[in-house]
Amino acid sequence: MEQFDEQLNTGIKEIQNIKMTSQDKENILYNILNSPIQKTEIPKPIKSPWANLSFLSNRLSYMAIAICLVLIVGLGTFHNVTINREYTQSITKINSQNLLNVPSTPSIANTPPDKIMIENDNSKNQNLAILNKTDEINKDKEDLTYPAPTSMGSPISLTGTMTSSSPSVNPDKSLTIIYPNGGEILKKSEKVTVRLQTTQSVNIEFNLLTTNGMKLENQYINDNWKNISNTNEIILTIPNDIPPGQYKLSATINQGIIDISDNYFIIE
Amino acid sequence: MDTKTKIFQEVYEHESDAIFRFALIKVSSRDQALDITQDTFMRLWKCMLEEKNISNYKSFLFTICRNLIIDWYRKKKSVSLNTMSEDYDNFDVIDNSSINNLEINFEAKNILEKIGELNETYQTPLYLKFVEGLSPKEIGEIIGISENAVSVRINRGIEALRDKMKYK
Repeated sequence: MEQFDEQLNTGIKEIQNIKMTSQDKENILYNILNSPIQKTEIPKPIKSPWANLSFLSNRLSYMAIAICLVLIVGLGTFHNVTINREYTQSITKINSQNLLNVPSTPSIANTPPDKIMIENDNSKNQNLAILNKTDEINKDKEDLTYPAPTSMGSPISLTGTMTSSSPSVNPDKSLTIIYPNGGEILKKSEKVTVRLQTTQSVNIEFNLLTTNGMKLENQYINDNWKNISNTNEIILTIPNDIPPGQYKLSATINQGIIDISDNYFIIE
Repeated sequence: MDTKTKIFQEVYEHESDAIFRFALIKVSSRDQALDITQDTFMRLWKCMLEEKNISNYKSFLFTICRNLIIDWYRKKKSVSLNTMSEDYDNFDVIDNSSINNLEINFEAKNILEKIGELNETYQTPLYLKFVEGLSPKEIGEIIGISENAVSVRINRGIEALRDKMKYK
């Protein structure tokens, strides 16, 4: 083994002694350094107009675009769900009060305005009155199906008192009940001088609202309460057979201008 | 003298003999070995003028030299391409008949002859490892194989060489 290594090392050293002569070295070096090799100018590549979109070749850019799309779609869905939920809550709240706040969708706008819901202004404690032109309270339950405002979910089925409202109610109210406006104690068969503040004094209809917001049934209200053409002071007679309790007075002009007493008065 | 010329002269001074030696034992012609050596350094000089990045001058020079030898074999010998392996290992064969023409000492000639009798895949790794002192990584860069493959070839080659020299 040692002899092999020794022989190998000897042979390698002898091989390593194979060299060029110094004359050959100088000649080669001279030839190289004096050769006509010039630095070749490598032309710069012309930039492609698509190079500006080279970032699309990166997989990360595609992932970023995908994340943005997911966020956009997700936020849109969340927004729709929120709107739908608010819509459902508002319908449920109104339904629980036996009041139906009908959204102003085209199908609702076409509903005949025989039953109207009018929202009072803020100064009247946001009382709601439900009036109809026949002056009847329909107690029958009917099913209404309104389309949902968005494409999500099935149409909402509502069950409640059939009292629809029309958004075409004139909001410019020029009728205000001054007396009785709440807190008064009245008696059956008593003649009450109702004082109004109004610019119109024709076709005034009066009615009494119970504590649940419903109109008094027609049997208690006689024709003296309807189609009144008078000035700002009108004398009404409290019905004799009216059940004792708390009431509000409602006044309607031409089925469009409405006012209600601010608070309940008592009929004994 | 600019920096490039200075670097080139240093590299030439340090590596020219090794390149010449490598070419000489392959082509067995002194004049041809000188030509190949000049061409090898000419290409290095051109690359330096073009400011190409050269990480290892030694590997670079041996790679160019080996390719030039392959070109020389293609031109000189009427060897059918069908007899050549695609990785050009056959070009690494040391021609024993031409070694006798070299004016070198006995032990050197004996070692070169024994290396030339080995499998051609062992010849260049053994030569570059023991004569030129290159690392397996540098040898791998030159002949285009992995560092591990070079180590395996060197170990098997040295065993085969020991067997050839009757030292087993």
